[in-house]
Amino acid sequence: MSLFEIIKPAAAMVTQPVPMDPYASAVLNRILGLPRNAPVMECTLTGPVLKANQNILIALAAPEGHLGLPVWESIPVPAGETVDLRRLGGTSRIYFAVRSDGDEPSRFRLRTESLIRIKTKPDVPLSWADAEIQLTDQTFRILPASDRRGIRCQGAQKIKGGREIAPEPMTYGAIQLPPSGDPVIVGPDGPVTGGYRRVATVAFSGLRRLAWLMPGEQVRFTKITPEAALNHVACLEEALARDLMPC
Amino acid sequence: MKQEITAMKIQWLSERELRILMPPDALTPGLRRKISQSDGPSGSIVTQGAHAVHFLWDPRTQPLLKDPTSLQRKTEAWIEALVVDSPKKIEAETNASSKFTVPVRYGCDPLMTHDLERLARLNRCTLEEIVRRHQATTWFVAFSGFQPGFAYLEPMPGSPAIDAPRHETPRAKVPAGSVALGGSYCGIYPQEGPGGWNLIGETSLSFLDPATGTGIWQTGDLVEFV
Repeated sequence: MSLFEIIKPAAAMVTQPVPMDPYASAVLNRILGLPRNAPVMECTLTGPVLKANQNILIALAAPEGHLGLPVWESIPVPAGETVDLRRLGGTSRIYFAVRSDGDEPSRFRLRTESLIRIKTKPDVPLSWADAEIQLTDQTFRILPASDRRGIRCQGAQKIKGGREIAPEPMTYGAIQLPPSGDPVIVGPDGPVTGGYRRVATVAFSGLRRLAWLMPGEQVRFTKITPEAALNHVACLEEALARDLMPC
Repeated sequence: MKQEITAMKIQWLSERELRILMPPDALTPGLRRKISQSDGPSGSIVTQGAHAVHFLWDPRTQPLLKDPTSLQRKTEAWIEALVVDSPKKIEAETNASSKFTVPVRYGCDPLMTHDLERLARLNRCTLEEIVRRHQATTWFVAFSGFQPGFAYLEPMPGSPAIDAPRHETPRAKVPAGSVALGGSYCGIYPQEGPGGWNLIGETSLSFLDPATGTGIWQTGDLVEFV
């Protein structure tokens, strides 16, 4: 018997080999005592209603204060009870992981502190930017046409210098500039090669910020050095190893 | 050969990604195939583009990123070894390749006729001549991208040239199975979607493996159109 059944499905729910937030899955799995790379569910704009088939533990990742449920900690759900994740309350995406709770509920009741949680809305860090292109001196709006393939940004000022190029490799976090002057951040389901000029790359530690961007949200980019980018990753790794506390 | 290697341009595109821009014509079918079949240096994911090869590391698990100079040196050595090791003659390069023969219905709808006429005008020749050159060219799978299962086909050296600049405004919908020319490349759209290339014909062959969502061809494979 599976751990839970889905009573009301979500429009966009996937188990992704490449989560938009590479840390959400690691933290949820850590909270539940599961292997780091165990699959988690990623839902966009709305989530499902689940019913526990046995005693389970569920952990949710979302910015705080949106869901009306505790986030970044394990929640015991007794057999037969439901969890309603339909109302994301103004966040774009949630992640959840589930494990069996056996006969002794709440064995893995852990929560995470500080660093790994999303508390503020920091700038998106760029660990490389083409010197000819000015991306950091204005605010961009996230357009509704954004999805896991690409996050479309629009600034008040169009950026000059965008053009078509012979196709070159792209990766999650690459920023392309088409001739329109509105940058596009390549998402985890984006093409492996792209035909617009590559003008910047989001630092690895900034990818998690991209996962929580809402259409209409304002965002700024900030330039950081590759050394700083690697330090952020080291800090996140350290926090992941250390920063989990018993409730 | 030494000259070729020193002509490579190397650039970090972030704390985790290195781009090696290859000299013109260095990315032969044989070298592309070798690159696609080799494990990346120091655990990197390797992706090929038109003129460049990119190496992507996971900064959570690759401590060598803190010493980019040494990682760069290892990567250069990796690609130099493949350059030295790849066959020098076209015939030898393509010995290991599969060859696909793709039947095409040329100009079978008004969009295709429109684009064939555009290419004839740009190349100062007849519509039939565009078709003849397309069929007289042996193409090879250079790299993939754009859509799942889409291969960029490059003409083998010595093939008749077709100049095929992309449309300034891409079409919103190009039917699956469309055979198209863009720049110096040829491609077959695996699925319906937007596209800015010149449509010249259609094929009923599908090169998308539904089980994996990727193309059934390998880098370096040969393609001829009939």
